[in-house]
Amino acid sequence: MSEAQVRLRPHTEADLPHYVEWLNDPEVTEFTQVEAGGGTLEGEREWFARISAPDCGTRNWAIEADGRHIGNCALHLHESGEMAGFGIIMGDKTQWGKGCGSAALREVLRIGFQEMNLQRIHLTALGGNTRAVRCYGKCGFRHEGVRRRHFLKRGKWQDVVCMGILREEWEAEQCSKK
Amino acid sequence: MQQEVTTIQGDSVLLRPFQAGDAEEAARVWTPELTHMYGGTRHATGPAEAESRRRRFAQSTADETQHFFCIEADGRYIGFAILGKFDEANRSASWRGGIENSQYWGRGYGTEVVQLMLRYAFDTLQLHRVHLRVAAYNVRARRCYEKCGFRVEGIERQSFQVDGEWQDDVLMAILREEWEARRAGAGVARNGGNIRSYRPGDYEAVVELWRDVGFDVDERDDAAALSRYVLLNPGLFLIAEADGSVVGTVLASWDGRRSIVYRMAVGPGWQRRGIGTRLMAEVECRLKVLGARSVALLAWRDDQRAVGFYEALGYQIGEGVAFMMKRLDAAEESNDGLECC
Repeated sequence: MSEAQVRLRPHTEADLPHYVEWLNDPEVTEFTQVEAGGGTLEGEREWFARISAPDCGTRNWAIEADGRHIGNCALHLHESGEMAGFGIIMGDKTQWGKGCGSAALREVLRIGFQEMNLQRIHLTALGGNTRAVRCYGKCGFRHEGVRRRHFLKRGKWQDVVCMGILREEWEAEQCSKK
Repeated sequence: MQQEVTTIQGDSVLLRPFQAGDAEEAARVWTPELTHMYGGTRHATGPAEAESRRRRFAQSTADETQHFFCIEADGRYIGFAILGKFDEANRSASWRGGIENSQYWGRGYGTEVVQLMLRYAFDTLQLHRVHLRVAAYNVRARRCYEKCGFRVEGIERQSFQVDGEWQDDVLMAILREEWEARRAGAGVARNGGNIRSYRPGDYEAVVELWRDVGFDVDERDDAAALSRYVLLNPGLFLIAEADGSVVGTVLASWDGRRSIVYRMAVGPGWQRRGIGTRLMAEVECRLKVLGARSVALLAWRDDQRAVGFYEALGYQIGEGVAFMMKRLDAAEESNDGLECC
């Protein structure tokens, strides 16, 4: 299967209503580490102001496919500046299963390692989110641990899977692709 | 979160708020080894140390998002203890702390402090989970946490740098039910005292014992491999000790779903004294605490002694089960056939 085409771009005010809709959709938030129902336009305006501040510790992107805003992703920089945590939400359900998330993640890895010169990128996923864990594995992330019963999701304790990729692992994968 | 308790009294330590004289004592006992312990480059201290400590202690005290204690022993400051990063929705918190006066290292003070703080976390604050991160090279701290019931949950590779070298962090946690099970007495303490976890210093003796009882010992059993095993299966590599030497071993693994016991061995001169039974009882107890509902092992069907031993402990031979195996290092012509330990 050829890789899906996506574009990462900075957020605009016009993205915010989409984000609110996604955050309130129980299907979209089934495996997110926030509970559904938390999204309000006012809250997301504050979020937008926060991520637009020059000293904001995150790099945020809107994910676009065929000119449509289909999701958001971000790198949360560690204070050392040498590593970051990755987060993603795929909001447009009509685009699920097409590899858009993987394509966005691969582009974020390129930016993180090539442009931001990071040493390490990590992420966490709810234990039940096997599809995401498989996708992260395919993108080169290695399993680093399981935080047991770390997150209360819809009234049930969930394990949280920790994964990470090192700069040299990402570079080795780029070489083997060529 | 509001500070709910201001002092906690232990047998040999007192956890209490920061007070006059602590910063000066912290500066006095400070050694470059401390920053390394916490994951930084060893650096020398200067005259400003007391002032900087006073400022940090005052900040930590004022910070309402954490519970900060100074540790006192023999009337003096010897270290600090913090429960912080409270996650209200998930009822968890993160532990941080250290014994800073090196005269109190290796004497159980850290273990006592961690246990007092866990009691505070679970009984007073009613938390569900306490976690921590520790530099992988900080073996003394990791052993203390393991002793207190923390389990390794993961390794964050290349998490920080010391002197230009990338270092790993070990992630550990203890859950409320594990804490309660330990308190109920389901731990090693009640089991006679001479069964304990494997330590790297046991390596030679363990290998000798395995050879004595006829196990194949190959590159899977080198010292690094056994240390890695302990990291991945904390508290599940047990040693029986008698007269100061290693007389028995058992290994178990628990992947969150199934558990397996292997390398159960008692030295030739020490058999038929109940050592194997005690090793098995301890390892089963530990697996139960972790959540295992059953445990499996392999034995040669013809080895009547082994089969009889396990049957007496309640194990049953699986009916209709085929033991299947495939070598993944098939390049070498295999001549040792199946292995079961």
